[in-house]
Amino acid sequence: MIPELGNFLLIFSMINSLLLISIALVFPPKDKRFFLSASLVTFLAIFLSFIALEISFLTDDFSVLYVATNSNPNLPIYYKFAALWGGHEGSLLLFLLILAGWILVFVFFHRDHKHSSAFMNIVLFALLSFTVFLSNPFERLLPISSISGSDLNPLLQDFAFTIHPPMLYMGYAGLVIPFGIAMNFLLNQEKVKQLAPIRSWSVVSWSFLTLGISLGSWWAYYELGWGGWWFWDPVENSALVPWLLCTALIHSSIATNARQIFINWTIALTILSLAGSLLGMFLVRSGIITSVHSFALDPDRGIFLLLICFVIVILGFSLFFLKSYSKGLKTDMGIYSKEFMFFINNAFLVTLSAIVLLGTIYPIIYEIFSGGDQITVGAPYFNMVTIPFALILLFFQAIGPLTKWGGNKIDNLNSIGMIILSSTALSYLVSNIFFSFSFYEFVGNAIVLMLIQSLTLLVFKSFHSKRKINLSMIAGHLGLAILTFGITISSLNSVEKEFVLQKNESVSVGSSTITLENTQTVQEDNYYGDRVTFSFQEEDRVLKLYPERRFYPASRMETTEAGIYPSIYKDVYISLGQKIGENAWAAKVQIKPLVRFIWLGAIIMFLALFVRTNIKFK
Amino acid sequence: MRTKRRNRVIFVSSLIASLSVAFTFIVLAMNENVDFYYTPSDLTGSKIINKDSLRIGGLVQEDSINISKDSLETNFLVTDLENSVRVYYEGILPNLFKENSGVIARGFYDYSDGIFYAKEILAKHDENYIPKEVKKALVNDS
Repeated sequence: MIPELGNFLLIFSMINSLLLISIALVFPPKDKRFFLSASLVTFLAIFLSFIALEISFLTDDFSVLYVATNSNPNLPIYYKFAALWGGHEGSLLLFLLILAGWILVFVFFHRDHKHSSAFMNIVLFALLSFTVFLSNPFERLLPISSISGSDLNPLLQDFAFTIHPPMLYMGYAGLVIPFGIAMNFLLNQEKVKQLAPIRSWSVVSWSFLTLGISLGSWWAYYELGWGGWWFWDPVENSALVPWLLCTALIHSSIATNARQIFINWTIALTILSLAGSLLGMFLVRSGIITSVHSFALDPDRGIFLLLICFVIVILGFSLFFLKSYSKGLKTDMGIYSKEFMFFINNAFLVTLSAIVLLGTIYPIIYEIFSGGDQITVGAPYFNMVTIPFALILLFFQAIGPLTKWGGNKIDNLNSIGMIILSSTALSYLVSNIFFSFSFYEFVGNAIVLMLIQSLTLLVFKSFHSKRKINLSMIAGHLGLAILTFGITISSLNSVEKEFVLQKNESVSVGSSTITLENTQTVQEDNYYGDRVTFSFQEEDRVLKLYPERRFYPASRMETTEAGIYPSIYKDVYISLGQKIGENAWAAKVQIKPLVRFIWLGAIIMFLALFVRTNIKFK
Repeated sequence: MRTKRRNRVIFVSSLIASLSVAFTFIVLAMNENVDFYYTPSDLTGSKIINKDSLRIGGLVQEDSINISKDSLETNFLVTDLENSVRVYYEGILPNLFKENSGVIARGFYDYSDGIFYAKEILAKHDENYIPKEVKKALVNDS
């Protein structure tokens, strides 16, 4: 009964959303409360439908096909709750819930926007109908209902997994809001001020995307058991592309708000970043690529997602070309001005996203045009192409905030010169003394030092002159500097070694010694396996690490649980390989300096959402 | 007016310059880092495939796995049920590496001894999962 009710509510919200669109576009209502109440009704219906599916999960109702394929009676209750978004249909429902929630919040704060919510509802309606007709989570498994259910993928039975999708979806869905604002602006051609909310909404979206992506990276780091934090996996890439476009959108809309420039560009970016996020959904959900994220879906359903993506892009761009804004456009800017810095920022970010997207979909394109030949584009491609671009972008990130709007000569020329010189010199020393000198080490550290100095200078100046300062920008940029530092140091100075050890045998890695102490068996409700105790000795310090090999009988899957000793200076990371004979194991140890800085930086970037953009030191 | 035009010229030329640099860069990087996929039958066939890096996929043949007792060396046969190729690998095997299950190896094929020297072995997360390429090879054969 409850699943049917959930299904009914979902259909109801779909019709409601369609009504809102048609009323808003055909007979625009005078009373502005109309949109608020309509959005509230849609949100509540989806929310109750979500609750209905949660009830089926928590009560182990395996007559519901989706519950039967993604849950198990032995699962701890917390994971039963989170299992709702462990598969395709449920995660789509979560996405819809978040999208409807964002639209409601938007309508609440911006009641003067005539058509924004209608355009947002077009996206919502398209995805709702996709869910209802083609990927319905409430489908029953009748007449034979499964007694035990299969299982939530063991790799996903994990805390980070449970919050990773919701956070990421907050970001993805958030990108619908700028799109709606831009479309409303094109349709009504009102004041450029109508575009202003794009800035804060793109920051909201960006922060959650940052958090979602870094949670995913953190999860992959400790859960997949191989110690990497970024694999250039198609799924990671399809989240990175909207992130890069959204970063561009933030900057472009800042320029639009401050100087009324890049107006059409900002609008184009709202369309592109939404397209990026929908294309990402298509890539992940269509099963066209294989990874932990793709749920082996039949391709026909995936094509429908691609279709939604095309329809929205075509809708957006036809409105854009028919009614692009042309009143009093300013395009001129000096090369030393802040405007120009924003131009560089956008040019590089969009190029970077194009490079990542190309590498991601190239195998698909190649397969189509070569008549079935299959290729993969390896991580070296991405590293080789993205790193130089990213470094140049970061260089300008250090200079940009020090420039002025409308400048015609370089402001702060002395400070910029000093920053570049001192960073280069300091980085040369640091790279030589603390690390084995290499080009990337030197450049990476120099750029991090430049970023830190430039931010310090900004804070110092505003403190001195009592000018306003954008703390949100400081947090975002500082986070990125810390993240860059973590990436530079950990990727260039990690040590790793693979070995086979008998009981009580030792192996030395760098200046430390690793000993296999013993092997125990472990037995839990939902899995069993071996736990091996290693001791890691470094000078006088001895650490214990407990990597495991687990077997999950319900889904008949074997996983590796890495043994990690985390610290801010470095992580010691041991993962088990194959068992060799009675007491011997193959294993891999990695020592990763400053790897935690990567996620620390990401958290600081996320916090940019919660600090004020304009504060004055008293 | 003159500065305006000069700025525009600088803009456009820098845009074109950076785009062409980016494009060359991408093409070069792409050429070096694309791995082609082959089946054991492709390798044992008459056409010689001379590539430093390629991938082969298939099933791990039953009773073909030899694991060294004191090192990380392994060798096994990869089959597409028609032909098979012996793969040498030194390193840790993925969790789901086992007989009769799908595997992809990345490395190079040495025609002089008929052995595929793998740098990387991939077996996917899902036990029921068969790589798309392997599935295709199996369907072609049956």
